[in-house]
Amino acid sequence: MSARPLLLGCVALAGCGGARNQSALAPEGPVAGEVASLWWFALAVATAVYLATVGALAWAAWRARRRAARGEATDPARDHRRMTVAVSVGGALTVVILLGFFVRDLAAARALRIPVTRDHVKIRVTGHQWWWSIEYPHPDPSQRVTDANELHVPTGIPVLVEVTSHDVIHSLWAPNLAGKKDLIPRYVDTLWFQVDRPGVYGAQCAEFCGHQHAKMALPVVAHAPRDYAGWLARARRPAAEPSDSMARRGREIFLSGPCALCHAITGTPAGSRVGPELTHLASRRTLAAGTLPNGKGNLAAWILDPQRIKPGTAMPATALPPADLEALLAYLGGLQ
Amino acid sequence: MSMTSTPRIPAGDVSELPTSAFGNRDIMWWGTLGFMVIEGFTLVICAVVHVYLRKNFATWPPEGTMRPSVVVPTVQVSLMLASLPFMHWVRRRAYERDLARVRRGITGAALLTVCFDLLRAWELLRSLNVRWDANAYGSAQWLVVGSHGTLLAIQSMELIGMMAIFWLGPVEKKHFSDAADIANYWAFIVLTWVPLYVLCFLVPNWR
Amino acid sequence: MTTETSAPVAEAIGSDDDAALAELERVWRPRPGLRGWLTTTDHKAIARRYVVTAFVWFALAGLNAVVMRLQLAQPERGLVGPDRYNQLFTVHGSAMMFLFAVPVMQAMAIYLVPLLVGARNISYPRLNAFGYWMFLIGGVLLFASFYLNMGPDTGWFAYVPLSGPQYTPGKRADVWAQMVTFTEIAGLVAAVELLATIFKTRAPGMSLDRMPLYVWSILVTSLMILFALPAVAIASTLMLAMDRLVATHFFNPAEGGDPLLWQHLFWFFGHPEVYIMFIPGLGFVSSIVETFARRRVFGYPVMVASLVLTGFVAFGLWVHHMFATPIPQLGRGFFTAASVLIAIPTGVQIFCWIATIWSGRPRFATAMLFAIGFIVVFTIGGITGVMQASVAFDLQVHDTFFVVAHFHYVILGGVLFPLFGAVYLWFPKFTGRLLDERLGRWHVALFFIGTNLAFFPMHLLGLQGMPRRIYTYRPELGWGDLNLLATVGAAIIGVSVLLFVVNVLRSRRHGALAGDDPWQGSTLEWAATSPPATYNFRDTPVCRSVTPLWSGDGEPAEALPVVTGLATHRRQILVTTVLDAVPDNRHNHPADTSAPFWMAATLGVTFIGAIFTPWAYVIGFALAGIAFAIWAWPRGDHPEDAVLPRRGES
Repeated sequence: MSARPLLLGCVALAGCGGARNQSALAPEGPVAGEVASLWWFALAVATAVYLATVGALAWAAWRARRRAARGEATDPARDHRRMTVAVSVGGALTVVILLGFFVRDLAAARALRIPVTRDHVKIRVTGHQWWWSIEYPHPDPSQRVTDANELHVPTGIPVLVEVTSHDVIHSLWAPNLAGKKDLIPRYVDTLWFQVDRPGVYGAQCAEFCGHQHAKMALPVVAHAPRDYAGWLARARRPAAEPSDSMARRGREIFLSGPCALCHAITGTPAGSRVGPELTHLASRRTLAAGTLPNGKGNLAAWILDPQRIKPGTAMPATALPPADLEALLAYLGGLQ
Repeated sequence: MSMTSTPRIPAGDVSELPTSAFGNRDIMWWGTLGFMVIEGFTLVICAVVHVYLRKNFATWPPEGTMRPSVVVPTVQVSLMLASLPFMHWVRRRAYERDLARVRRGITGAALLTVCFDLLRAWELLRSLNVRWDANAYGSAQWLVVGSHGTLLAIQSMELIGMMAIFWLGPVEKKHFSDAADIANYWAFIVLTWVPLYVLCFLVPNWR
Repeated sequence: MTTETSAPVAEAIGSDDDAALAELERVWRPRPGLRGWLTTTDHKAIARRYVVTAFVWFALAGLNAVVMRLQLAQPERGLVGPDRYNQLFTVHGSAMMFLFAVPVMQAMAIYLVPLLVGARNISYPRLNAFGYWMFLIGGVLLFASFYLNMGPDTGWFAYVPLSGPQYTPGKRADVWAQMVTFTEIAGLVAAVELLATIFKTRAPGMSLDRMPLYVWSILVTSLMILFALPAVAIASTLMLAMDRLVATHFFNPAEGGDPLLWQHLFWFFGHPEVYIMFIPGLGFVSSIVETFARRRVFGYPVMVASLVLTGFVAFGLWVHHMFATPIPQLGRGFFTAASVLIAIPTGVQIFCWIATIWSGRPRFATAMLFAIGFIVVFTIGGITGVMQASVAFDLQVHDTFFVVAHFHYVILGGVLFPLFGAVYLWFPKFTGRLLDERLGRWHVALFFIGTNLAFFPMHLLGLQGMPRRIYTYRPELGWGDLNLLATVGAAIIGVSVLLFVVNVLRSRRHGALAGDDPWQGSTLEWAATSPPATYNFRDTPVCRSVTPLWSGDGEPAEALPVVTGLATHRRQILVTTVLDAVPDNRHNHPADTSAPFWMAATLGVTFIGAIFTPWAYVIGFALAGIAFAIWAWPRGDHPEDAVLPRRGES
């Protein structure tokens, strides 16, 4: 049977296969860790059960063939008794093993309950077709942060992510960190995880949400707690002032052109929430929800013709003469 | 590999068995039962949808939507219940293969069911006091009342057809089994409507 | 009782048999040519075209899969764009689930069940024909719209709000909703007629505890269909279509509607649906194992109980498709338990088959290899299914390629392997010739290798973070190699299916002649000729045991008792009692007619019209009334049916 060697080969591949920063097999926190240990337990039990079943089948076939070939006399009554015992034992073992799995799962479920009593961080994520809006709430409105397409969290304490959707059903899934939660309009649910060490972890939309479901990724940036405080402080600041005249012209183009119709930049009159917030655009690692690495060339390509990179996206092409484009890029490049 | 078939031994003869039957001895009865199960469960699901959607509203009907009127619906459900003994009589005459009485009974049933159709149209367009596109409450009301109404309409079509057969012939023995079946189906239509009437017209009127 | 000694082959009993037989043949003969094709009510003719049509949809949907696999074989391939890809996977899933898996199982049952219970035809012949036409229209609707680049594109389960009026403009989702309407009607109709056939037309002596296990599987499946299909019919034909067409608000959160309601309704249908596909497969395996192990399947009562229990418990699992949604915690625990529990009856069945093989004299013909392949492949899928019963684990693998691997293992393992095996088993009965065994071995070997190569890597891909329904992925994610492997596996599956088609086409003309009973089978269909006469059995066989054609275990019986007396001057079937199959009355069937075709045509106009306007229902209702009149109006062909005006005689 070709499945056996394949299983072993693939398990070996698993280590060197997919990227480690978006894999459920490389847990980076207690939630994903609990699930991973449940998985290895289940895999071990499953393999044993499978080998036993297929082994029994192979043995039964071999034994029947040998009996027929040797012309052995059969004793139907004895056969019947033996089969009754065998099937009953098989059935009983099945029940016991399944019960064992169920109990192990109950233990996992208990370990994964949301830890509301401890210190935690709350973040709100809203899904849109095909980007993520992130809010870092605070009782003081001036301390609230609205961001997009990159999730920043501290390590070492539980992160509670309240999820909902603005349009269709999406799903937030960071495999290194936790299982997924669906983002459903008019429903709010909570996903929680905790990150052990700093790094950038991959997350992606996991519920088919239309044309560009494939390109709705969300980098999750985990900072050590002190670094996180620093990041949050920078995020709370309004947009950086343009540093030179070209950047100032760029800001003008942004505010007077179509950009401001959809994108907000705090500290400027642009306040539309139709598209992602751009206040700290230049500090993000990627553009268009993980589709492109952030950089001047990619940003230019995106502004001029988003449909070529992400066909079906809501953002229209913006025709700009080269000088205007340079100015706009200079302004956006300064939005750290 | 065997090229010849197993030899046959005669073990009985069925040529004296009747060629028509009533009730669960009749194979057609089982088809009617099957469709009653399907349609009955369909109505159950519609009712579940109705009850489920209620949780999205603080009041039922929601603020700004009128309560349904109960006058015509109560007339309708009373008429329906009153028709049950009549249809039971039709079923008994069908079992006796009493052509003249079954013919009159089916005609009466056809007229009655057209009345039910007209009353159902009134229930939808007037008594409900809400459009299907007003909100999810309106959609749910139309779903339940309309689904049952579709079954009523199909029943009307069957009865008119059966009436035509009984008057214009040729009437065959099996048509009496069919008439008995439709009397059973009639009971199904009426009895499924009673809880739905309560759900759609009485419950939204409870304080 | 005396045995006729002068006619070794024919079923001759009396002296004027030749005339009676000729009359029987004439009465049951279909009309010639195209007219015959439109009017036939022979269950075998309808079932044959039903099976072939279902396999055509299977092949087309399989082509979609090949294109999808080519696109995903490497990161950021530009073979197809997102719009086309979304149509590809939607049509692949919808066609496989609605147009192939359930219909082909029902079609096989429509052919086999009347023969297995000793009846001359299925219970409702015109309804049977009607069901096929509805099924055909549904398939043409889906594929025509797909090839016109306006195919549905929101997945085979069409979640709202994505498939609602706001986010999927145009008619694509309406096409999907009405395709569901046609297939649901066809499915329900087949279920009703199969139930009536099983309950009321079994051979004398075939009490419920002597019914073949395959017939039990169809009984359970048909009952499940009655309760499962209405949920999706309401959700799609009524609620989704109305939201899109006339602005109802069932799923519109802004007006009190609820996207989760769609999921509950769909999965209440969707979970039993996969068991509806799979349980007939379990029936096939019993027939194959019994025939080729040459031993009665061990543990008949336990096998029946397992089928029934599986059918019941299947209705209590649906929320396990919704573990990532905001449903109450306590509810989840119940569905975890049920999803774990359902493995037990199937496991016990597998142990019983292993026991049967152990105590039998197995021959490893191709059909038996497919049955063994079922155990080896399906068990992997069953195990990953139980793993996903755990909410914690499911939240990691839900909507990833792990799930894609799981359901392909259970579908290829639990539906395709048994189905292919069943075709190898019964092809000689359908056609009078045997399928080629050598080609068969290549078929099963390649199908087995292809299945594992295509889908095993997907378990890993899912765990490594690859979600479903994505048209491409970035190279740095490292998913390229396993995807390439999977694509190679898919190609091998395609080759194996091609071999199967070649085998069927060649063997139809040139295959070895099979005779009535090439396998020395145990059940009644092997007592009919190969292929069977239009009327199946000249005289109705009597059933004395679970294996009516065997005397002891595996040994053919010396003679088959039959009952005589069904009319030969008209189409007549024997109706027996439900529990003990005692002959009770005789039922006359109508002559061939095109009424079912016209009824399906009017409903076709109605439901396709309903894609565009609700007034189609009004016009359609009127047209259907006319078609109904054509169907129901008595022809008066047989004066013996007529009723006198007085109180009639019986």
